[in-house]
Amino acid sequence: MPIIKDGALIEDNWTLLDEEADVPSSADIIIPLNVMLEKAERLSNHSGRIALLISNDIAVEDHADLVAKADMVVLELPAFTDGRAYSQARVIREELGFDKELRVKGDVLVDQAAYLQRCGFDSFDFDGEFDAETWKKSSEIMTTGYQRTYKDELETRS
Amino acid sequence: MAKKLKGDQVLTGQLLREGDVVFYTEDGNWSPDLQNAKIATTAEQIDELDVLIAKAEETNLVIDIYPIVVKRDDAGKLVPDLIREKMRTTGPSIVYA
Amino acid sequence: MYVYDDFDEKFVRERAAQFRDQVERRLSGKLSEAHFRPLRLMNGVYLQLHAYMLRVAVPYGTLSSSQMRQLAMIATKYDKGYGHFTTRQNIQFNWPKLKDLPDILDDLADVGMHAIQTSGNCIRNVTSDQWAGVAADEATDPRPYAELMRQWSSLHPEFSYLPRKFKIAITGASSDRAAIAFHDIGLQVLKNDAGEIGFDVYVGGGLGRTPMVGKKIRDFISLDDLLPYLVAILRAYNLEGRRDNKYKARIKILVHETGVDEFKAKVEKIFDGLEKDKLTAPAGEIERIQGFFTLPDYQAAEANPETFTKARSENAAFDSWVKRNVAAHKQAGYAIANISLKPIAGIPGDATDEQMNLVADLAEKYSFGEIRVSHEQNLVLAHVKEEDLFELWQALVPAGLATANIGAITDMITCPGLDYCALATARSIPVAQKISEKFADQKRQEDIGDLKVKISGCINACGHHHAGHIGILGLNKKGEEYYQITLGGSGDESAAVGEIIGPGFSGDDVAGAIDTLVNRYVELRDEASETFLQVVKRVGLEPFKEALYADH
Repeated sequence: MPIIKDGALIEDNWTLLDEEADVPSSADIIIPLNVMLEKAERLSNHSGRIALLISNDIAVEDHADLVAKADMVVLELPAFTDGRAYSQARVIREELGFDKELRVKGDVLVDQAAYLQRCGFDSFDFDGEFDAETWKKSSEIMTTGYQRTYKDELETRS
Repeated sequence: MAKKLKGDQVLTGQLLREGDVVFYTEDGNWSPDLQNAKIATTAEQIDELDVLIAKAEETNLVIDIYPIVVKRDDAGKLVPDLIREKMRTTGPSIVYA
Repeated sequence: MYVYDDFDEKFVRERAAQFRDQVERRLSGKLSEAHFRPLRLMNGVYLQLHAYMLRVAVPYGTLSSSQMRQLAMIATKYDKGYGHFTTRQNIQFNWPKLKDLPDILDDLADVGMHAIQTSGNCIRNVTSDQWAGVAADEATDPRPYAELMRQWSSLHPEFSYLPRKFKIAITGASSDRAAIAFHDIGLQVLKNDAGEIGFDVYVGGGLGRTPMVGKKIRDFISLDDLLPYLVAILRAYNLEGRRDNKYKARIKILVHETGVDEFKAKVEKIFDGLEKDKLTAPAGEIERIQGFFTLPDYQAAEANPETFTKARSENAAFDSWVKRNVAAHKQAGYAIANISLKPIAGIPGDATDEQMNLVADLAEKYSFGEIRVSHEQNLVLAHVKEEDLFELWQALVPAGLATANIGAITDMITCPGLDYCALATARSIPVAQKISEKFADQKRQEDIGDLKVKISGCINACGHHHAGHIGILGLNKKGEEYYQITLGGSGDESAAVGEIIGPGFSGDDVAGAIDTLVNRYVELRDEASETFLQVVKRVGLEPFKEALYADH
């Protein structure tokens, strides 16, 4: 499954664990939060990396311990107009102090990438085709921003 | 959507580049004049409007395409049924600018 | 007023370049209409009934003469020679073409203007008192904090895909001319005994189909904590506001359904967890912004100079204009001159390119080159010497800009309605024109006194009908326009939602119905100084109902 990281399309080895799937214990898996909460014992012998998939109706601060243990957190954009994941990301980064990979999955528009990055996301798993040239151009147009944010690469007024 | 309306129908939309209101014509083009519009009268023609909308959207020339119900006035001219569409066809009812 | 530095200019130019790229991708088909729509809306571009519409931001309603001239140029070059000033202190152009919009945004950037977030589900243009900084009843000038919020809210990474639009208004005066109680967030700027700035915070007000008066959730939040507190409110809203139904997606519904106390507790909890020093403005920034809002270089001027009083006594029309359109100023010898955009039977809020250019020139000559737009769709020259008022008035008369009706019955807020708007259910402008004609007599208007009539062409209430002393709502019944009348609404510090008086009226009958209501008011008032709103509050709706429906 290809994803976008640092402006490039890369192959990705994470596997989404659905309810009953049998995955090797060495695989890198993405586990939905509810599965994690109900079936954590299944993972006691898991040797691969574990990522947490959190849907956008969840108060992330209620699961600070699970976030802290995760190797990656994945948040969802079920529609590109649904902005909840932006706030969840800021809470995860700025309040829970999570510093590993934070991924957004779903209906991501090229034109939103800069906003998402400023909220703390660093990889994108999005529906639709990836056009590297458009991505590059559109993510480089704005070099300035008024807000100071997580790992900000934009010029702000100092 | 098209099927719920009752009566003769024409397709309207707005030009992507300009925003002007236009109507779908017999020859498959778009005209600013409602009188040039292709009229769907039979059930088959009305069913076909959805297909025409999908095809027209693909050309990326006209946006916000939908069917409106039209009638003929005493002079035989096409007139939209709804006040909103009448206004849209004739322009603002006030003296402006 | 605030003037862009290199940073602001770079930001706005980059934003214009970004929109140019988006329009190119849209025209080439790379970007679908569904994906483009929210992007164009966040640049103020709507698709209206007849054409695209561009809404340009006028931050907290303040413009320079050169900016006004550029708006006139845009009206001439890309539109049909006019623009429409809106209830959010912005200006909109009714006929631009999408292919020209990138050029228009560049032209705006040339004078430090933009159309950022004048639409879309994001934080909209911050609005304020049109007399900010000069009103005699003002404790603290709100403009520096409005500017601070303008910057903070622009392309906010976290709050650009909210459940619905989000409007913030701020005032520093005891009379609320910014309608803060009808905004998603309303802020009252205060100064405590120690001279420190703070803000009372109201949340959850709004008009639309579910009108609500905002509730105070915080007293005197400090200046340092203002932006973090806004982050807390917006984060609570962004995470929990309803996204299942666009008509229930405003923060007022969340506050109402959650309960004010519980909502406040959520906000406070988020606020407590924030790293506030990272969210507030950098050190020195507030002082930098405040530096732009010092008072202009007033000359020592005599109050009520003889030339002024003489002109008033010799010219009844000028005297009427002074009475209705000129307001008290902080500075002795100066006055606030309000320019009505509500000529009798005209289109409320419209101004031609020539009128815009004239106002720009007059502002330069008489008012330090600064113009304000009010949410009641009028213009303001905020620093005019009393001795210059007569000359100013004489220059306004031939341009049709000297109508003496500010706050009077013909000074109606009116949305564009079905003449322009794709969402409208009925026309607003022709109704306003008929009412205006009916009450054209200056003597009668003066006798009626303060009376705010507000007209909306659909339930979305852009014409603020809920807040009108008389509100008019245009609806569609069986294919015909008809109009529902409400009484007793108020948009100021006594904020209230009007009550529906009874069955609606046809477009032809509305003006007559208003006439009947006003005549009844004149009969009912105890003395000439008792206003329409005071009478409605005192006697209730019943006597008005009788007057309206007794014969029916």
